[in-house]
Amino acid sequence: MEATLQEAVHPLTEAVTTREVPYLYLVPFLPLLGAFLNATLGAQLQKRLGKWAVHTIALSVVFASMCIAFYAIYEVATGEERLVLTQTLWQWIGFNWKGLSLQVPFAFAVDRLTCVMLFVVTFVGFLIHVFSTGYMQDEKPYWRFFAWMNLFMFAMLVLVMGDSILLMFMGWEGVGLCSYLLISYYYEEIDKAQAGMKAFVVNRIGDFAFIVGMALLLWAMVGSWQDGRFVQDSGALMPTLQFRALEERIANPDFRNAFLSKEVFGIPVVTLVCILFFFGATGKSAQIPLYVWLPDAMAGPTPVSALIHAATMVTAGVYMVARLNFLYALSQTAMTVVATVGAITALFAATIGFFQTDIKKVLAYSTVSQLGFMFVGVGVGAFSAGIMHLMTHAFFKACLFLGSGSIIYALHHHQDLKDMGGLRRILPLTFWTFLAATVAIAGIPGTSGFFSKDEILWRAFDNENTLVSGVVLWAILAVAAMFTAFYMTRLVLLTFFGEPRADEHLLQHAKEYKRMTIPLIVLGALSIVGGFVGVPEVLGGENRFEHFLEPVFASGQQFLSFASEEHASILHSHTGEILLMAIAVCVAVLGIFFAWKIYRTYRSPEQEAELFGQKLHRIIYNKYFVDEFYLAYVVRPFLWLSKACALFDKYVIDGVVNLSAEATKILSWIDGAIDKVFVDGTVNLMAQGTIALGQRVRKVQTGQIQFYVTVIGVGIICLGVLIYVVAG
Amino acid sequence: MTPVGLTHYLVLGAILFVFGLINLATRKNAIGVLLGVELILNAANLNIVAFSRLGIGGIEGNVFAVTVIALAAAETVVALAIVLAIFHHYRTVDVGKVSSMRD
Repeated sequence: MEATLQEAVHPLTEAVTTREVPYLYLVPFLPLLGAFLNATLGAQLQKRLGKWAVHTIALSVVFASMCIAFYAIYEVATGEERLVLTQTLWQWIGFNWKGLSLQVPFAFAVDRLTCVMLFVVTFVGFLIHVFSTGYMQDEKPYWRFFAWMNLFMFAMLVLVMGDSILLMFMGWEGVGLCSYLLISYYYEEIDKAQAGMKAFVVNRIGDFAFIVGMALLLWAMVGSWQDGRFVQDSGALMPTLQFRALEERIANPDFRNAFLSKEVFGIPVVTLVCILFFFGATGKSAQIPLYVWLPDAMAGPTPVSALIHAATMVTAGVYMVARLNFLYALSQTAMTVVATVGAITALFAATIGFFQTDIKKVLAYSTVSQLGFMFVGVGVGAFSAGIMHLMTHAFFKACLFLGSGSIIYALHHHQDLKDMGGLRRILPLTFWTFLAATVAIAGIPGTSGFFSKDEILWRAFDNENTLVSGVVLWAILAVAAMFTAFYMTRLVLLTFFGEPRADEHLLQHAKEYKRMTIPLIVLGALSIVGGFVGVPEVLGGENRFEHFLEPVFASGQQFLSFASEEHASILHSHTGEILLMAIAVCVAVLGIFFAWKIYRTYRSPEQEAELFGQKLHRIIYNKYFVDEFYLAYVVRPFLWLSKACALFDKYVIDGVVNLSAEATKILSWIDGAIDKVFVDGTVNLMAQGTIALGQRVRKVQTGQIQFYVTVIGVGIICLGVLIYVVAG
Repeated sequence: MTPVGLTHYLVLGAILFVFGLINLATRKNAIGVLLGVELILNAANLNIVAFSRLGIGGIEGNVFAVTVIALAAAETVVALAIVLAIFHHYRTVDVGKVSSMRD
């Protein structure tokens, strides 16, 4: 089996063809140009020419970037199976140390996985930019919004196109920064500024793990730890951070076996590296335990929530795991962690979505939950299923967020569900698109969400790649799917049905704007039909999406087949798949049915509490008190620690510093005194003496010629006498 | 009676010089001071001529003497003009009082 694997893996990785193309850099750098222009000139442009100038710049760069990205996608899709477009801009990092060298070029690469991401990021990103021109039209710092949006596009495109873990990490940090800037867009309001800070700090915790993972991976490539000391392998290859080089290296059985045997603290390095990377992903992609920032991030403008906190940035973690599939596939433990955390998050966040009263908060928890689904997908080895859900989720969740944006804009920034209701007639286009996205997320057959979610559910059930039984994962996800259908139906009912609860005055002026409805229609349509790219075989499709991505995940799948070689369950059949699908549809319909039963008429939070039991409602309404738990057991102790450090600094460190300063002061005072008395005294004395002498001597110079003549005469006589006396 | 020798001339020259010098140093009147200068020049002339006649011989001494006389005449002219200008300006020829260029 070992031999066949070697033979099987090698040809695959060697079949990678790279093509150097000169235009890739434009895709991320055009939005950067837009960001630069708007950041430097935007305020002036807005003042002199009006807001159209600002969004013309922002939209045109994103549009151009999208066109170029589409061309790249076309080239990859029509090229060879494992075609990778690359562009190396410059040698970014290159150093030698103790005979080891690390070379990291600043290079972009586009393979089929990147294509999917590029499509999602540029296309959905562009639509959301268009939407923003409507939603943000009343905002004063309009230019700032678009500058940061463009900067975000740059960072996100660097993240998905970066050819090395390091460049991906740069984009990873960049999107975190832009997320912070955009969440705190209304920074005059303290709670919104704090939400931005919370997002940033929580993300930093994850990012730290990411950095540690990266360093550990680098070390593990060239050596190992023995008896607490790092020992370099003899004849080790140079470490690399480039994805393809890394994949190639791991495909080499000798290297792989050596790599797998390395341990730190008794844990295999590969597991540790993967878990550290995944911990980074829990920060960026809002999974347990670092999901807490995402609901607060709803403080930002709604298009930001749609772009960053639903469609693109939060999916970066899923993309990262899929990108490093060959690494994760080596560690069953890491796969288990990813899938389990994903499943638990999916269920946990879905329940919190039940009783939220803020329309955006419901969607935020829904996002956390859906990201959990994606992680289960990539965690059980169904990488393409996870990525497909990423794509369909980008469509329907962006649509939902933009729909909520349209509602919020129409209601003048009222976003509590108690102020809504009956909006069906007032905002018809918003209603229909919102409904389309809702049936998609609920998983009604035929919609995009149905195909992607069912793929994940089935693959979770049917996997032996995780240590947790697939049935358990499947059960958790099925319940989560039911909850999803439930809370989404509740949201639609409370928003669009029943009697209007908003102000008469507000409703009279509420209307839809074309710039906002066009993106909604496009995304709504994609929410419905977007899934047809990946119709599973059992339903007569050929799952083109999975086949499209197959080459990218080939080596990952190869390593996974270690485990599933002998795997042949009865459910690994079309009958089983159809059965599972039927169950999934049933639970979704059940969820919708229950929600319909309960929320046909409006129910205030108090009524909900009565219906579901006070205690349960209180716990879920307060999000299981996780934020309070973190505040009490993480944030406060940390603050105490920093206060203690500050005190130590103030009294001990500063004391020592001040003491030495005082000593220096005294010493220099003494030194100064010596200088003053002795040195200056001597100098002054000489000066004074010279002056006194001069005062006396100048009397001699009278200006009287006759006096001089007398003196000369007397002098000559004296000289004569002297010569006479001395010389005899 | 010893014949008049070089020594006599030189002593006379020295006496003339000393008188001239004392005159130069003590007279308040500018004209008097000029007279003192004249005396000193003539004392020198006397020495030169004496050396020329009784010392080395030759004509150089006489040439010098004539030159000095001419020089003295020119000098006296310029000096008297200055004295006149001073008198016009200060209404005095007392050299001790003409001190506006001092300090």
